[in-house]
Amino acid sequence: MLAATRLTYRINRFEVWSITVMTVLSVIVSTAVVAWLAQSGYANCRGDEFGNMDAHCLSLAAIGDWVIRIDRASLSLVLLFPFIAGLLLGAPLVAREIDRGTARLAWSLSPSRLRWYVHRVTPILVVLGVAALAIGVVADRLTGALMPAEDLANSFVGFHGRGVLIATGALLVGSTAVALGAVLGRPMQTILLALVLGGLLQVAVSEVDRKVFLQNETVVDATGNYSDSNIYLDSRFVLPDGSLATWDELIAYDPSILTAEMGPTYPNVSLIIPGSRYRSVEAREALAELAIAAVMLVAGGVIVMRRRPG
Amino acid sequence: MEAALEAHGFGKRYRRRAWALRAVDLAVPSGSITALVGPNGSGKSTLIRSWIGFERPTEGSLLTGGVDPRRDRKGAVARVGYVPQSASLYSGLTIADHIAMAVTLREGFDPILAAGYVERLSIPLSAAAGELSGGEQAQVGLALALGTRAGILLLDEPLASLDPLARREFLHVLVEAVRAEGHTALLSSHVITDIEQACDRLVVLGKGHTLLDLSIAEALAHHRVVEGSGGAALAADRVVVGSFPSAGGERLTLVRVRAAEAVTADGRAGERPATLEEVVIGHMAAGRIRRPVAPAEEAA
Repeated sequence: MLAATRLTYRINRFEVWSITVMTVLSVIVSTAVVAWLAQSGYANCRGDEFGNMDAHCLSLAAIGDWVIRIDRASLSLVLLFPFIAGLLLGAPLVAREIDRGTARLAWSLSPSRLRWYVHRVTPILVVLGVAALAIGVVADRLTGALMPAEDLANSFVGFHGRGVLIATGALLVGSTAVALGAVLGRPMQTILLALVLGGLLQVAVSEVDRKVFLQNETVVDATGNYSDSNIYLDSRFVLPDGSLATWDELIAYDPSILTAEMGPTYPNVSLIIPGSRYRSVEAREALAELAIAAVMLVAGGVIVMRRRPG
Repeated sequence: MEAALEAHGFGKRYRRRAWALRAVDLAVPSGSITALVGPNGSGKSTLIRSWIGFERPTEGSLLTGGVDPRRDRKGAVARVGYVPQSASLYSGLTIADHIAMAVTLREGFDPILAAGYVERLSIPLSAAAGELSGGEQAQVGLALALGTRAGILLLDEPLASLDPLARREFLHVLVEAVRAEGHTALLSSHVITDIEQACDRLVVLGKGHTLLDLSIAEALAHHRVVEGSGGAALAADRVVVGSFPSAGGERLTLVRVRAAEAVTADGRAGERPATLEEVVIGHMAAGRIRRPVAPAEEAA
């Protein structure tokens, strides 16, 4: 397996090097940003009610504003990483070999195409997973550096943009690209289709989670305080019997509110997923993405075993 | 005579298009080097790819070393060394890498044997495949196929784009290896001199099925050439195969002799012995028909 791994990295050296260099640079820059923000304390420089900062903060502002911009830009780019890495590493893996005819050579040498598939896919997915996990951890630190007071283990701040979901998202997109590449046998078409399908699958996971599973974890928040730590789902009106009603249900219950000058007087509450559920929600979505990635890889293997070599 | 490769009523149709091959019955004897010849699009590659399990028969059956590739593709691949028309090597890998990869993919692959064939042709093992000429790449493809130590070699027009010297070297290695190891080889080629040099048997495909399946010696003994388009009265034991222009432009006709005759310098009046090239071209001319039909359909 060691020799097969070495050869797979050599065959895909441009892609592997690109992602490795991108990840290492990202880690270095992010570490420097996080270290500077932590050391200088600039992230705590909020200014007074008129926006004026104290002398210490003002002395850091010239550099600090740039560091904050780099931090925010990095966090924005993190959202693209699962797609960039997943497509770059996953799409050519099988598609290019079919397109260039090297799959024909390999499949004529190997009685077991499954062995060839495992030799190709495993090392690349390891690189993809490790790189994306590193980026996810880095994004966690960058978010923490911007909001030192936030307990990120119990907060939905930067949800989907940090932590393990970056890694599972990349594996989902990469595996989708591998499977589509096995079907299409053309790298460019694979990249385009995997971009669309990978994106749709990620959105689907999040939406299904929100609509099916998160309903059970919804909490009624009557404090009226909005917090970035929570996921805000909807608002409801509290009826005299204590039950909750939507706006349409409220109109059906009390049509007079439509003509009331001051609007509805019923207490308003928010339906939220509290930040304390972050880890469980994150774990559930990560598992769902991993499960879909596994299905895609199995599908890719089945296609490889059945298709013509091109 | 034991057959290494067999086709029984084999037919292949791509999606809903016309049949590429139909009702092919063929047996390639063990230990032979058989040439597979036919016009472009006559289904040579389809047949070869089907024997290694890369294509599924639409009808009929195949046997590769006694194994049905449709039911047991692994078994079929394990019995075959395959050289495609384009060597399709990994351009970024060295030749040593290719041999190492073959070791990881196939149990029993002989890296020393493969490296030996490559080095004999002064191709450095450290050279990247992308830096090699077409002839050298074909040689590496052949070395990889020979390194499998498979009893059957399927060569799908590997010589098509090679210069004469590269072709000669390729065939030399092939013939030597096949004779030394007792392999069976099926070589698809358009170049008649290659066939004369390397092969002992000739199969011509056309009309979507087998037009000729004889040893080279039998093929020469069974055919004559007459000038003209064959309209003149022929002896009862002669059958017109096909007409074609000679290099000089005059019309020649290949006729088949019902019973093999010893080839004599003069032959019968108006006839002369056919060269192998004329045998092949005459049958290819006869096989130049668009839609392959089953023999029963043809008789009707």
